[in-house]
Amino acid sequence: MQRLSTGNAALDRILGGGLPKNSVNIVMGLPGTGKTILAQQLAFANGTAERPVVYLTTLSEPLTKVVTYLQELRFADVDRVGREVHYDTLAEPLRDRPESLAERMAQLIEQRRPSVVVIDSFKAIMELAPDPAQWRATVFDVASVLAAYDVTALWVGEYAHELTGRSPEFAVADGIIELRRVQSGSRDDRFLQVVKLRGSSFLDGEHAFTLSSGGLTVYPRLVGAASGRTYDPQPERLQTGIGGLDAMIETGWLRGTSTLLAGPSGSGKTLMGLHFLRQGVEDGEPGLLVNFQESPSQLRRIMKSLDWDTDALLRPDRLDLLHSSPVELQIDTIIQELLRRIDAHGVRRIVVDALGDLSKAAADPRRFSDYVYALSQELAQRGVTSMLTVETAGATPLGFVVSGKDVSEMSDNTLLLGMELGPDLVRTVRIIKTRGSAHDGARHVLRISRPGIVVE
Amino acid sequence: MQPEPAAPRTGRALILVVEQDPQMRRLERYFLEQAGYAVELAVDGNQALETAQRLRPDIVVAEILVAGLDGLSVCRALKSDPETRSIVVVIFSILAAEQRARDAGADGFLRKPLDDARLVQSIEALLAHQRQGNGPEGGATDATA
Repeated sequence: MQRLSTGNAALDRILGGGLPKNSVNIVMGLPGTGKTILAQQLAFANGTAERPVVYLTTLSEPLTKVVTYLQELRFADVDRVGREVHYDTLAEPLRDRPESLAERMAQLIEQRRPSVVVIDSFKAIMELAPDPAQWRATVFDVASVLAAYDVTALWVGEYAHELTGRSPEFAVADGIIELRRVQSGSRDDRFLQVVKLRGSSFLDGEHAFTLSSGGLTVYPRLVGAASGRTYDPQPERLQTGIGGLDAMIETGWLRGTSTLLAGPSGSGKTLMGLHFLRQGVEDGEPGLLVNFQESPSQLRRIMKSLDWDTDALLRPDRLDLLHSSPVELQIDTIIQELLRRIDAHGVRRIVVDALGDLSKAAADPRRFSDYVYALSQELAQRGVTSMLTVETAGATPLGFVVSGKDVSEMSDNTLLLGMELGPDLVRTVRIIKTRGSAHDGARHVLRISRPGIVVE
Repeated sequence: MQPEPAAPRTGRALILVVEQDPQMRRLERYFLEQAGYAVELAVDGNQALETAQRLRPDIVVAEILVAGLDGLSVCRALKSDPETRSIVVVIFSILAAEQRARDAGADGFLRKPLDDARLVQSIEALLAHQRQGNGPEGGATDATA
């Protein structure tokens, strides 16, 4: 089956390579969800002088408005308008005779020989039809014309989800993409979902996206377990650079494994993660710290207090920092950026500090454990060794609950950091779980001083 | 549907389009006439055979899925009759039936949907091949069945 690019590589991946050619597709969603931008991105990705894209407005938005706002979009090369992408309106012809739409389509195919026809809004035409029977006949006729010629159609409409079972266009459509906007705390999350794609597999579920003048940036849902790839921890053992700690687990940490660092605030989790990353840099392994609390300047201060050479260390190709606010960003956005940086900089070690903060970025807390599982799969498949920190508020004796789910089962190793309050503050560490390694499960004292952590 | 009156032979090549979908018929006729051909239409296999025997078109462009005689049967009937054997037949179908078209003796096969440039190029190539005295068989186009 031949495919048509949507102009968006991530969306094409979700669709299994793009929209099937010579198909009728509906892009649905309430006003303001990004439908028109998606359609225009597709239009400019496909229009050529020989086989242009025809973008037809109806009675939803005046043509002048659509073209005015179009020019604010970076991908819309105005010089191509009228040559490779034609804008026109069906408002007047359809106002009195909505049933003439099929005839208009046939004329348009004869005149323009388009590769793509966008009708925005298709739903507005439905509302002009005198009765459902005539609308059904009109939809059938239009679909027949479009099926005859080598053209792909995009029908954009402000359809609510409830209409999918009632309006005939949904039965005729080969593909349906729904865009939604969801209020999540103080931020708006946007999701895209392929509801139907005839004769083609696709990545199901909700995929986050953001809107900008560059168009839609889509973050395909992380489904590491579904990729079918398997992994085995590699026998190579890595060092954290913390004296005493590496000796507790045979001779180090297996490459590609994930380790949960659990403990209360102040127990040394972040610092332990930084040690692990710094040792990686010394061993020629670029690292990435994903951090939600400390800003880069705060982290720099912490490292300087330990006499670490931050200028030599903090570089994207050595120790890269991804500082992000879980309140502002959606979890898919953060994870995709994390994976992008891993691939861009050849990252071999990563620390996510902390899982509890990351859970705040998940619109649906119930899906958080799926994300953590899929993320650990993605990391393992890339051979990236990870440390994930978690606050022990909500701890069970041997498990750690984040968003109502025990995350310790998703990691290969679990370290429990403690703080004993007596005459002096005593920090402790013990390994309570490892996969594939013998370990010392005894309680050890952990001291923080210059140049860092020492485990006794 | 009654057979439409025959278009006067004007020196332009005559193409008989055999198609039951009205939208497809309309578009095929439009693009072929735009390309300079005279076009006759038939909506089913029996009408196609009758029209072909009566008008002797240069090319028959036939869908397989038509009422009465299907497009492949029309092709076989034309190719088995010495009077109509020289008519070039292109099977233009929604079905992926290239081998069946070849087995039926068709000179070309094209898969739908309609790409007017590809259709016209294929017809031009088959007609050029025939004008060179090679007969309809073995026309060197990507539509050759």
